[in-house]
Amino acid sequence: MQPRKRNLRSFNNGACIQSIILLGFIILLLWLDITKQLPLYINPKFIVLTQISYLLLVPMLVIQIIDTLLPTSSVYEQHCHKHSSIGKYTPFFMILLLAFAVPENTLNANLVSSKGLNSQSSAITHSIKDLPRPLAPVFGQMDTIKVTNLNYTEAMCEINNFPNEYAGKKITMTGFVFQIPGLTNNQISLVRYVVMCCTADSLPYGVMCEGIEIQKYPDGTWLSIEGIIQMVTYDGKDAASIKITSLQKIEAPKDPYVYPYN
Amino acid sequence: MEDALATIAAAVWTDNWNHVINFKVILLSIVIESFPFLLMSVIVSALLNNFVSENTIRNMIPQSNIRSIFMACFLGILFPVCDCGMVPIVRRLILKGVPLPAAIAFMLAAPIVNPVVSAATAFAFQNNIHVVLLRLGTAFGVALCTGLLLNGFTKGRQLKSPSQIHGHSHGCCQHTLNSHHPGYSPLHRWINTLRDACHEFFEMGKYLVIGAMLGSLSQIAIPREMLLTLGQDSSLSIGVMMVFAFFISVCSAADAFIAASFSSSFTLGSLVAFMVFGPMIDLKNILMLLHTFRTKFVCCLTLIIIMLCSSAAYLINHL
Repeated sequence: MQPRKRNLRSFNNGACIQSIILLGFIILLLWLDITKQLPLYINPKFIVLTQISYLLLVPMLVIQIIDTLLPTSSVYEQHCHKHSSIGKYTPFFMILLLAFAVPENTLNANLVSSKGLNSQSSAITHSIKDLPRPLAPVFGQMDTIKVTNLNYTEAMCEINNFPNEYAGKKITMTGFVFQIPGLTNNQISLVRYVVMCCTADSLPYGVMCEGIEIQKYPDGTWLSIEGIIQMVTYDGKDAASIKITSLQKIEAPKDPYVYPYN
Repeated sequence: MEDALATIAAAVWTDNWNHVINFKVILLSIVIESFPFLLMSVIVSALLNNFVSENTIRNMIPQSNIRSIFMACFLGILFPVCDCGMVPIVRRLILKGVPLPAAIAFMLAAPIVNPVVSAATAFAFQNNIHVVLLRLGTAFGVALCTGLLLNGFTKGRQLKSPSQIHGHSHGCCQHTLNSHHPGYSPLHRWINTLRDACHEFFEMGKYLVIGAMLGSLSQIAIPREMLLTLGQDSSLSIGVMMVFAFFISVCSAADAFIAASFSSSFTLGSLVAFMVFGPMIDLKNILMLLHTFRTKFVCCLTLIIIMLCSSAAYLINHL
């Protein structure tokens, strides 16, 4: 009896741990989906893929549970008990632990400097004439440019690349504060993360703002502002800056990221 | 004094905690994003194992090795897959009798030479067709040359034997490497498919997760300024961008946007090298490769790809 008993117990371990991990992942993905947190990690257009994947995990879990309870139904795994050590499952447990133990789920301003602010808009200056400008005629007719979730990327590109065309116009926008080293006392950048595929490829986009005592707001404070676009010289180049006429400190929005091209 | 210390400690704590949050968000986003692709890949691999016989596959691939390599480079157009999940499928194809050079060429080309990635690249570079063509062309060239080189210089499957994978030699677990069992009932086959998929999911998922962890760490730790100072040198920039691509391990559909964000400060060749090398070899898939293929083979393959990518990038910079 002795060897058989050991066999059974160690075999159960492998399939049992796998069942626990699979269950953990199903619960994690389902929870993120139900509480609408998935857009904080991936572009909403990929959510359907995640839904498919947790549905696919269910039959795998069922098989693993059956294998845990009825070891004889598995011909080959029974021999594999010797290396079903906990060690090879550590990475999965670390992910689950991190996911459930760290409650915050939104990128903060710390990452702006390592991602590089506005790198995209300066990226295209050498080919600026060929640039498609779908929003230029629309913005040209507006008295007040309203920057929303939907037009954020294009609006930032337009304003940062062609400040001379928009100087004097009113603008309303939201974003979080990021203080670039080297700006004066009354200047900050108002920034949002733009997410293409998943949050790992997010890039911070924003525009410079000017206002009295604005630097008292620490990095990451969300502001909703109204202001007037003006042209300034920054780093020896023409740049846009918003002269703030009114501002309001707001709670971080539920949808902090911008998803372009949706 | 104590107050001041407490304030400093609190500030350091908040700062580090913010880094932990960013690490968690980036890590989970990579895992969630690549999860469907890994799952799809292990399921396709398991289906191949249980429902397709070696003969069917042998009849489908062209007789001549050169022609099969050529064909493999274009298969991505039909199967737009992400690089996250290529290794299990490729291993299964090799086990099913696809010649190694063709399978490797497929693995290298498919994540780049496909419609989804072309569209994403065109978006990222604001419809600059020149960059898209350079990327696809270079990827195709590298995959083709690698396939041809492997065809000339390697023999056999180069897969690790099951005993090497598990570090012992009593030959268990061979089941997963076995071919399908023609006598089984359909229900049995489906159950076995799920079991194989599950087994491979845990085998490969581990490396994906570890790679994603290292990738997110380097996203937080590598300061952009350091990269930017090296960007204009025509040869150095290529090396820097390839190392960067290796470490950050983003999806092939998304890396074009990262590359575009560097386009003001980096040479065109280095950007192409970034977008071609990254999907072929990066931290998360080299771990899976090392687990699947012989170490010596993975080293050779990596070296070949590094040489080809960097020389292509060098040519782009100087023509």
